[in-house]
Amino acid sequence: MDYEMAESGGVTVLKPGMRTVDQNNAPAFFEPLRPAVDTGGKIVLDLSKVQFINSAGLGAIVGLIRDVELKGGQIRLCSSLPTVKALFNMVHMSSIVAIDDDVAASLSAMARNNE
Amino acid sequence: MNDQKLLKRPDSYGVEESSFSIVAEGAFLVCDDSGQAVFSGAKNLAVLSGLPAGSTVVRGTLAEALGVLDAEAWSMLFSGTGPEKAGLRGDSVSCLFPGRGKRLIRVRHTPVPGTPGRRLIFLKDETELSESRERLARAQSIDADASARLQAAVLVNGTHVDSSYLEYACSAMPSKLVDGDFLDVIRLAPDIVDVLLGDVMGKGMDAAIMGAVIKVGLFRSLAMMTRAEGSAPSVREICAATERVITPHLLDRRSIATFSYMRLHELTAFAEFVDFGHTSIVHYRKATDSCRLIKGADMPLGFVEKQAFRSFLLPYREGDLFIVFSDGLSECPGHDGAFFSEDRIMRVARSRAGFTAREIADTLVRLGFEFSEAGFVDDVSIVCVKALKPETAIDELTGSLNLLLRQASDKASETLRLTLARALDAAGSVDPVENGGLVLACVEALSNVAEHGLGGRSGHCLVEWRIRQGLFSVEFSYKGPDYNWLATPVSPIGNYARRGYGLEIMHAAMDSVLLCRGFGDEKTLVLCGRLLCQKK
Repeated sequence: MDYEMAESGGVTVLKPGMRTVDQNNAPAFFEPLRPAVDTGGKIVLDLSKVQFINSAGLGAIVGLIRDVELKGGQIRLCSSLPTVKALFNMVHMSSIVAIDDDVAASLSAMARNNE
Repeated sequence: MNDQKLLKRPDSYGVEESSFSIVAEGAFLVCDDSGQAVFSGAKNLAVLSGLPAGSTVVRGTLAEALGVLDAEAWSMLFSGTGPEKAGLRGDSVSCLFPGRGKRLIRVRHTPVPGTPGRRLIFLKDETELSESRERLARAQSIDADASARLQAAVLVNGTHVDSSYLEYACSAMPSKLVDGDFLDVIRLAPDIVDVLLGDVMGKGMDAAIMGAVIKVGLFRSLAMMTRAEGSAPSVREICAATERVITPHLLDRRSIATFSYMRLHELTAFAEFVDFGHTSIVHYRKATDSCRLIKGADMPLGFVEKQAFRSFLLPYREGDLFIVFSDGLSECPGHDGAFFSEDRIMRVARSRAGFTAREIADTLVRLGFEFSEAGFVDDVSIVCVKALKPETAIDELTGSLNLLLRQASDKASETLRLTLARALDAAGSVDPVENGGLVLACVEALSNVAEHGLGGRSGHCLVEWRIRQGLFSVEFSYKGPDYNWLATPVSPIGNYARRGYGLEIMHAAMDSVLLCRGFGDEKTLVLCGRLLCQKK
């Protein structure tokens, strides 16, 4: 699984390295985040390298968001790629999760929320 | 012969004397095999023929008592032997009753079971009924004549439209009683031709008047929406205005009308249509020598006060045909009760595709009429449109892929995604967000064909795309079971659903998602989207 994971101020930042998220890789996509999810942690999902997400990939991301909320955690997404933004706009993704342009914006927003 | 003798019936008649009475304004008698000697029921005959009450004796033969005017016809009614005489027989005869003048009497008779040589006769005076029928026929004839003239003058005479891109022909043939079919072909702007065809429920003058009301209402709506030269109201605007003007009349008269409004954009070569519960439109595609049925998703006008109708887009090419028709043609019954059918219209379109629009329209009317044997039961109205080769070539980008789909069609999806992304880029579509949405919608369509369209099997899907004059269209042709591609998706995101986003993405990214059915299980899913940011 191609990804980068980092900790920053108590927030877990996961940056998947693949260009597409679809039915093939979606199930394993968020395995590295499982400990952070299960402990109700704070998560930023950095999708800056992902260029294409199909409906199966979208379903996996929505499932992750749901799991985080059920465990009492927090999650934000970040992506500035137009194809991913197009998808998020079409399905009104922002109605269930905050979407930022980059990781810095996500971390800053999380810090503000926890003040 | 006296009445006592008459009433002494054989027990084997199996019926009580009281049964020989005036029933349903008719009279029962028992007579001999030749219809001459009466054995029972003389009182009934007296009532029927208007003799004074209490007449209980039939003097002379039954034919004489009835005053039958054509003795030979009476004899024929009781002639024959063996099986001919075994069943129920009957006919109408003219009689001259002493007290009531000339009457038309319906005679039906059948053998009395177990009593050879006896027949049970039922006589009914149908004079008034017959006269009523004649009056009704005369009234209907006058009504039908006036309705036919109204229809010919107002409803089915399309205006003449010149076009170097399209050739069209209208044909209409009223049924015996005339329905409310109406049609027209109009040009509202330099590069669009509008075709409308509708059918009002009911027959005769009422339906014809309602057809005229709709057509006048439609043109009044158009007049109210007149804009600067070169600009025309959209199909949706026209249909909304027409619905607003017409529906109150239909609701008031408890009538409904089906209606197809199709706009042909000559430069972009695509059809845009709204279907208010009308019969399908046949689209013959020259490039693939195939036919498909185009059907919208809305109810007839007059069902409800207002509906959120949907318009659809469909690309066409040179040599393609559109046949818009009323159900009088597709549902015209043949000698065995089977309909002429949309399938037969598609076959005619394919076999006559090289002919002119006029020849094709006339052929359909002729074949339908021959098929019907007894003539059309409903009005038949047809508008046939053929796309011509344009005088000047119009730039377009086209391409196709024949993809083998399996359940996990990742390779095919990737191929399609890259191909369409390159095509949009080559066509100068510069908005990456818009391009991303369009490509994603197509990939989702392909995934849904693989998952639902093919019915769980592997199969081929022909994907044809075209970018022309700012319109991006992709057609997915495959064979498989029905799948509801037009289902209005309810956003699953609010429920945190982990699947079910494919249809929502298709409908959100595209201006039109349409499923067309062809022969057998042939299907074509057509996605169209307008490119908002295209470099010149």
